[in-house]
Amino acid sequence: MIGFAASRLFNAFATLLAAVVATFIMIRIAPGDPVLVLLGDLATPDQIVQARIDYGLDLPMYRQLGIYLAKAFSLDLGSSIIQGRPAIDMVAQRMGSTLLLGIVTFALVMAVSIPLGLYAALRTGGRFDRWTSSTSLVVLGIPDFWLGLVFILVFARWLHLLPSAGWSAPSAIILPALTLALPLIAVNMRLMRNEAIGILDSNMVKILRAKGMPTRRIVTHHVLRNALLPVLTVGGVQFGHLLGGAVIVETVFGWPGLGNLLISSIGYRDYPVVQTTILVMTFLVVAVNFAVDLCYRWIDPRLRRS
Amino acid sequence: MAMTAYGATGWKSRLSVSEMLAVALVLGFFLVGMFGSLFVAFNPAATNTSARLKPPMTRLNDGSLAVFGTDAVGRDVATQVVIGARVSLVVGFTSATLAAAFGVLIGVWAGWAGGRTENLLMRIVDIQLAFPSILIAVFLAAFIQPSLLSVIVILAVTRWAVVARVARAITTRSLSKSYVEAAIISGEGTWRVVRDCILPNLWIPLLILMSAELSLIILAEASLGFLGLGTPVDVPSWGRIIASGRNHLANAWWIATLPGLVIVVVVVAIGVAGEILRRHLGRGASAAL
Amino acid sequence: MSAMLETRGLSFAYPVAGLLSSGRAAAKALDDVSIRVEPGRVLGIVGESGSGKSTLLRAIVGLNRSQSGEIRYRGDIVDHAAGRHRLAPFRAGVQMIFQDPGGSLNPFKTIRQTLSAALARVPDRAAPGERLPRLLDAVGMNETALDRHPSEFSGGQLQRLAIARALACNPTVLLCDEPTSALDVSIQAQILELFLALKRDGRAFVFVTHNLGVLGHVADTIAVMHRGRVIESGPAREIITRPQQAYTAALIAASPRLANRGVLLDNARLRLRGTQAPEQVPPVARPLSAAAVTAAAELDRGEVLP
Repeated sequence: MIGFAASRLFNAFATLLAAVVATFIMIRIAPGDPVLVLLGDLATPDQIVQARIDYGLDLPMYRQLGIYLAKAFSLDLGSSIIQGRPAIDMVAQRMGSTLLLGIVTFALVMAVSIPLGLYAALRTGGRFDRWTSSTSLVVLGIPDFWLGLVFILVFARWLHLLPSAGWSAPSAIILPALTLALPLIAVNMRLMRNEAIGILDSNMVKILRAKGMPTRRIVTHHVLRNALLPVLTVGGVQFGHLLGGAVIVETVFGWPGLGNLLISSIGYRDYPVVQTTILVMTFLVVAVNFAVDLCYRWIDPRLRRS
Repeated sequence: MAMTAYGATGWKSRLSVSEMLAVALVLGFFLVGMFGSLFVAFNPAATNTSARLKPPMTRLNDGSLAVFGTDAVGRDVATQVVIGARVSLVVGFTSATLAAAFGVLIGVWAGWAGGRTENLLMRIVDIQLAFPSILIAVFLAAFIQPSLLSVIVILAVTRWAVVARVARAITTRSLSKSYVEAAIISGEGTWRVVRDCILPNLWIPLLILMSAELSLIILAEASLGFLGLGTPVDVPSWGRIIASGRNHLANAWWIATLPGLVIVVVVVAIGVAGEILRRHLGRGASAAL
Repeated sequence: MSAMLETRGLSFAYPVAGLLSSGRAAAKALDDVSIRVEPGRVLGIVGESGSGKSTLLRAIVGLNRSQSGEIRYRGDIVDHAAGRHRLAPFRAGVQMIFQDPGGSLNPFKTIRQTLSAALARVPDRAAPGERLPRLLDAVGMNETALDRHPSEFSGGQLQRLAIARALACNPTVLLCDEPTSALDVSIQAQILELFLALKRDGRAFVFVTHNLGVLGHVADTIAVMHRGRVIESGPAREIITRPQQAYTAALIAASPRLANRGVLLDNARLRLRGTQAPEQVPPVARPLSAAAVTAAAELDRGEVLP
């Protein structure tokens, strides 16, 4: 178990480092220059040269990378070139709302998909099962940004039930969470259904039935428990992706999260903020994956022993 | 292609009405994407103030029927959707092909080489797959000048890793088959063993995988267009049309919603067609996915 | 007599994937194995599953990635790292026949394509048009097989075609990895008969099997392998009748069915040649296993043989 954790920790660290280095190189070979954005069109060539020296942008790329990594290890992630504030502060400010949206969405997905998937499995081939299988195919074909717009149109513009954007009221989280959750519910419900059907069909359940155990008990004690494991694993990966991949839904709803920050800071070529946002997003994704891996090992006794 | 292998009647008799509809819709998407622009006239710079924000099914001054209504400068939305279909089709196919080619190259290389090379390549694949592909796409697209080519390359970059993983799994499995070993120990060259013994195992799983990738790439292309990244401003891609309707949600709902509905229909139809492929070709192949 | 093929001190360990590399060695699959086989002779290699028999054959042809020790073909050292050109005589001269019937035939190609490609590897003045029928004739098949795919043949036919593929480049050594294990007893007899005919042509065989009964009838010398080492070797009759090692004795004793299989095969072969078995050889001291009784009954009823 400890050896496994160590090897996964190493993987996680390698991923983090790869993401940081790839971002570093990417933003520097891409066209655009933060100094020009900062100083505007009226800057003299001397001012530009001086600013480049101030920000260390005149050094060769490998030296810049070395300095950046050395500072990053001492937790100094630099300051925003545009705003002058420490980049980590700007990111931390946004991280809370991204985490909140991710957690609410995740809870919603699990709360809906597990019972519905189980219900579909208990009535395989029934009306509900057939309806959900065709619906989930349709749901997976819906672009998330469009779904968000339709929700805004219906619930905010037409019905005036919910706020359409921003952070104004607690109810503002409902529409973005629903938009993010719907496709994930479709995926997890089918997964839960298929896992549960597999277990209901297993020899173990047949034996329990033969021994006269009531169906309700079989479902709660055996089917649910065994089917949850793969669903939770997939859910963990999805949670990680929610923290990084909500860029588009955040834009639609004007949600002040990491995705929005990333897009705006790329626009300004604000290297330290881009770099820190990617670092934090990667950290969240990697940390969630790491936790899921460990939990999976810990829950599944077959894996625990090996 | 597959038609000849199974016989046209065998296919038809096993398709339900909704499946036939889906196949028809996919064909329709192909035809509109390829030839649609020949039949509609679209000038991105043209404005027609008298025809601004007309709802769907309005008869315009010039006598044409605006099936999907018109946008804020009086351009026909349906026409833009037809032009946008070409972007979706071109980006979807070239990107999926590019991703498949690169993924197969890396996957077969990793499976063939084994050892450290395989570990290294698969570690790269794992790292990429740890990130949501849309995040990578947005990140790359935000830096690069918008052009059709850059969108194609970016979306291929976000999707190759999945293909590589499948290709590696199939290569490793094929390599343990006696006929591959027999070819190797008879002194066959690497390229001939790959071409004759390994690649034939890949085609069917790859075809099935590609149908899923095509849907994902069409969705991703629309997302990039919606954010104003990716394709140039004067090319009406589906995502851009929807984005342009965002500011008129209150007074002209159709600009944002109807093109989105088209995306849903096309992607779902491709999904159903993919299911048909999987069912008819997939027995051995689905295990590999 | 000089050896056609020999190994000296061949060792190999399967690598176990480590944290960073795949370098750490674990289970020793081959430990200092030295064998030799002369022209027109059959070396039988016997041992239980995992004893390293198949690994030995794979090591000889270079399918393992790293190994130590020496392989000599016609007295010359074989270096698997060498270029294609230098290895060519060895590649053509040493061919392998696999356990799963027809597994060595590419399922995507017709028999004609596979055999023509194999024939093309060695220069020959005769046109492929003449060589193909001769090749098929040698394994008891005819030209109707040429334009079919491997999936259209039965197990015994496939093994014949696989042998034809191996014979195409006119090898002097055939490495057989359990070539008859997946076949019915009657088909086994036919295939063994084919091997004996090839042996009379002066070809050398290394014949790997877990089936001592089969070996007793084809092998001139036997090497017994256990945990990657050759623990006993010598003339076939001696090994079977007077095993020196307890392990060998146990191997013989533990398989009454296998010991009697030789009797079944004898009978089958006699029938093949058109002569009746003189009389049922009485079962040896040990009682027959149920499987052997069934097999014997089938043979007696003539159900398997024409």
